Amino acid sequence: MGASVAGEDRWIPSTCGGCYSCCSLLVHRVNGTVVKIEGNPESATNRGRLCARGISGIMTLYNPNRVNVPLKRTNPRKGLDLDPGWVEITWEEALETVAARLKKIRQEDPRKLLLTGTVTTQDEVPFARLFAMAFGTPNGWNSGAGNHCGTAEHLLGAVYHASWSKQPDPDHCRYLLNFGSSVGAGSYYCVTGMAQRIADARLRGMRQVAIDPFLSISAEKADEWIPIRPGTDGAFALAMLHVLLHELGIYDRDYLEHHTNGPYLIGEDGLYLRDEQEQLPLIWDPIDGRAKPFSAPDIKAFALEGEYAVNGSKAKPAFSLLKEHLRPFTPEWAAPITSVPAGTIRRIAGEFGREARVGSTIVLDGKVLPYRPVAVMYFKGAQGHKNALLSCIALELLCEVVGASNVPGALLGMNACSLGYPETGNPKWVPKTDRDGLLVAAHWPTPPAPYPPREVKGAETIDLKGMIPTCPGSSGALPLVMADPERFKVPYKIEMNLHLGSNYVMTFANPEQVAEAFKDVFQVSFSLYLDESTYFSDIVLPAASYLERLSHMADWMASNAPVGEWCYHVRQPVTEPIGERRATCEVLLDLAERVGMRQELHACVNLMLQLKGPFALDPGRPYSWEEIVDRRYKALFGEAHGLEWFKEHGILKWPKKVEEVYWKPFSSARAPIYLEWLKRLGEEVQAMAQKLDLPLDTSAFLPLPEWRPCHPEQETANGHDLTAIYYKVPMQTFSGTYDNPWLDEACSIDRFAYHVAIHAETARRKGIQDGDWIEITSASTGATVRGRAALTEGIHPEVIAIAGCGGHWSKFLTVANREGRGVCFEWLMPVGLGNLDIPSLTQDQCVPVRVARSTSQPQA
Amino acid sequence: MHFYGHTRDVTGGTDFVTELPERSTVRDLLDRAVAHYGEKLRERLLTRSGALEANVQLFVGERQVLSPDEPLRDGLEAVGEVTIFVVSATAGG
Repeated sequence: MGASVAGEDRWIPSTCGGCYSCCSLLVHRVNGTVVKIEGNPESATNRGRLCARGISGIMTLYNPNRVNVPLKRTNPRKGLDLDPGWVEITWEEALETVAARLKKIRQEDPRKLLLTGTVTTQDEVPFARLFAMAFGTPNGWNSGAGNHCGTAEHLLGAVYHASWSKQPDPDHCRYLLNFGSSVGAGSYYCVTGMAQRIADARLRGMRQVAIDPFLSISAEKADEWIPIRPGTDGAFALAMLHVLLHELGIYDRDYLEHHTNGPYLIGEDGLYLRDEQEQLPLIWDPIDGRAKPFSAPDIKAFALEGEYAVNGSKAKPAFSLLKEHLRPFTPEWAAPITSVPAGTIRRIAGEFGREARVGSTIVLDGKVLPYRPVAVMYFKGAQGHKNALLSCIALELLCEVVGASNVPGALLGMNACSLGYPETGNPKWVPKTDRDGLLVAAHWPTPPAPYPPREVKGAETIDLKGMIPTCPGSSGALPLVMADPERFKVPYKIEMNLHLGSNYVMTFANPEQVAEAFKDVFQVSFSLYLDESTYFSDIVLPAASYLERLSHMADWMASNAPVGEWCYHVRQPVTEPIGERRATCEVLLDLAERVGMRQELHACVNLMLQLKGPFALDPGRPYSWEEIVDRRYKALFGEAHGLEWFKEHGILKWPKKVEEVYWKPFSSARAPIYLEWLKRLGEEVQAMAQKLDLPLDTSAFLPLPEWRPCHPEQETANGHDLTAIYYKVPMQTFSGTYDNPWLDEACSIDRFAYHVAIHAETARRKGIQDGDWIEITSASTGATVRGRAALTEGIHPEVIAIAGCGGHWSKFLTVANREGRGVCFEWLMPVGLGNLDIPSLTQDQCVPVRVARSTSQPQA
Repeated sequence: MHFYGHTRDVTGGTDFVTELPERSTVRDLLDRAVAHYGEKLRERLLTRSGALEANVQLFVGERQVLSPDEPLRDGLEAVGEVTIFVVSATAGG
């Protein structure tokens, strides 16, 4: 008490790193010790709110299981449960060892270097990418999010919203259809800020309908929960589209004509009809009775339906093809697939269509804008399937046909348009238009954006993205290619992995198969903990956690709420790093000097951080990390707003303009309701696959959505009568937070966080009681995992639901590795092309399983 | 000419020096570099129709160039330095 009064007592602004949401913090430090963490009420991002992960960051900072010194392995054999035999070494020995290996590889073939990161190192990974780019390797994997990444969703975020992801308009939305995402409930982007905004929206009358196999933390906050069979969301959406277009006739004609490719004429070959002179897509003008380029200034009207003869060819508008295509997808067709009664689907479609209020307008800031107060949200739950991309297209089209896309009340891209800080005009990005008139994202966290797609060029990289450029996120193919590059015609083998915090053996799929890909790789880990993936490390470097390090970007496009104010945060050390921990970005600068790649690194930093003029890095001298961060802030916000200003004030914010938030009416860019380019790309991918003799199923590269089952019937036979699904909980971020004692306590008092949810009637039929240990055997991998049953009526009777990434086994994680701390879902999932949605390289995450009461029931 | 990013496996280094006649275009320079390093460089930088790949950023001096058919000039002055970045489009996610 006396020390507290007489000594230091400060509240320091910084930014949370417990997930990817970047909530602003106020950290209370007394005599050098962090004693409390609160949300910063000044932040427009989280508005003073903080989740359990944010508050408990203090226990990550001081966790005795943290790595505090550099380590090297002494056991040459690597395996999931083989003790590496760690011995302490000096930083100098560690860095010289790493630098020597990097030099050798760079000399031989820089592509042999891999970078693996995760979302809890989301500030360090972007700088490490610049290091990798300067080094000369294209190979990276955000593996900590691999199983959980919204890969196909991100692709369509770019295509429909010019953004990495999207949110419902919390200020004006009146009807939110949520297909299994965690929006507003403690996960997803802008987590706490949107949780409050969605709660406020419900209070003002927004109706929320959850379509989800499990009555999750998100679904339980809805007005209505509709349990759906996993992997059938696309069928539900197709049936809704059928009702809207064929039964109710509800669609936004004006939006379709001017903001989609609905009027574009499609020929009998499925491709655009183009004008001979400029090769622009044609539309049909029914008043002049002839085809014209879509951008012709003399268009009097757009035909959306009908069939037309153009230069001897028959053609129909894209909208007409979509409507015809949807004819067979009735609610009666969808009912046996989804297990949702046709009447329910029809009712939801009607509610959605009527609440879209097609034709209505709203005046905001003196501007008359379309008012479409409905939104359809989805993320990993609806898209983590073999039919990922086609399902996502169907879900997106719900908003597109009623014009509920980036207008007031609707589904909004997460900050797709930024006109910049008023004093500098930076950062600036405005959605663009390609030659075909389609929307192009102007800002993308891992540039370039996935549309327009890169040319298909074979397997240059070990994630297959060179061959399948429509995968914008974490590739489900990487462990396959990495384990056998020759099979995929990749002309090199990964020899070294710079490993930034991802726990890839626990967050992707079958740990044994993933481990096989990494066991012969020289791995350098920047680690907080000695988790399961560091069992494969050769050198472990003690990493500073987010409370001990400075970041150059404690903010990104998806961390801000879509409405309100722009808000840029500082992430600064609130205490000196403990032990010998060092910030990863500082270590990378050191390594760049040792490897002799300063010129290349500075060039890449200048380009990607847009450091120009007086703020550009000079290749003639090294810079400290503080200097680089200072230059980044000054380049964005002017000389007066450098690092020192941010350290003192914590945040810089200013109001968003109407034309930033609701940018679509101000843009000429069109969204594709017919994905002609995807059809063309699929033909290229197919040709390349044949050339390389790769067994890729390219049949899902389709211009219009359809529904396909996830698993063939033989997989669901043989007693595998249930489907296991994975879902996120707001108390944990993937596998990275399970050793935090406070979060462990929070999970222990939640019925489902560590247990396996199973329907009470299903459990009774199998002789399972609440709290019983059960054995879950995968039809896909044959593996069996154990967990405790949590009986509930709030789950589809054919489903079991497993939360998060528990079930740790590292002997160095003494909180997380105790029995009953969750289940590692990944043991149930196979690694293989057959489990992937090829266009997006998304893994199928619903697994046919057999569930039985365990014969071994430990005493409570 | 400076190469940064996913080119090192082809170029082996960062800098390439050559001389070109007046009124040369970026494509002329790229052709010269391809002649030196091989067709693999062309595949890396250009599409089959000869446009810059989506993950290639090319600067003539300080000016970003979107088409290889643009001149190696900045206004009236011929520019001595061309910088090419091949962004690691496939990294991360």
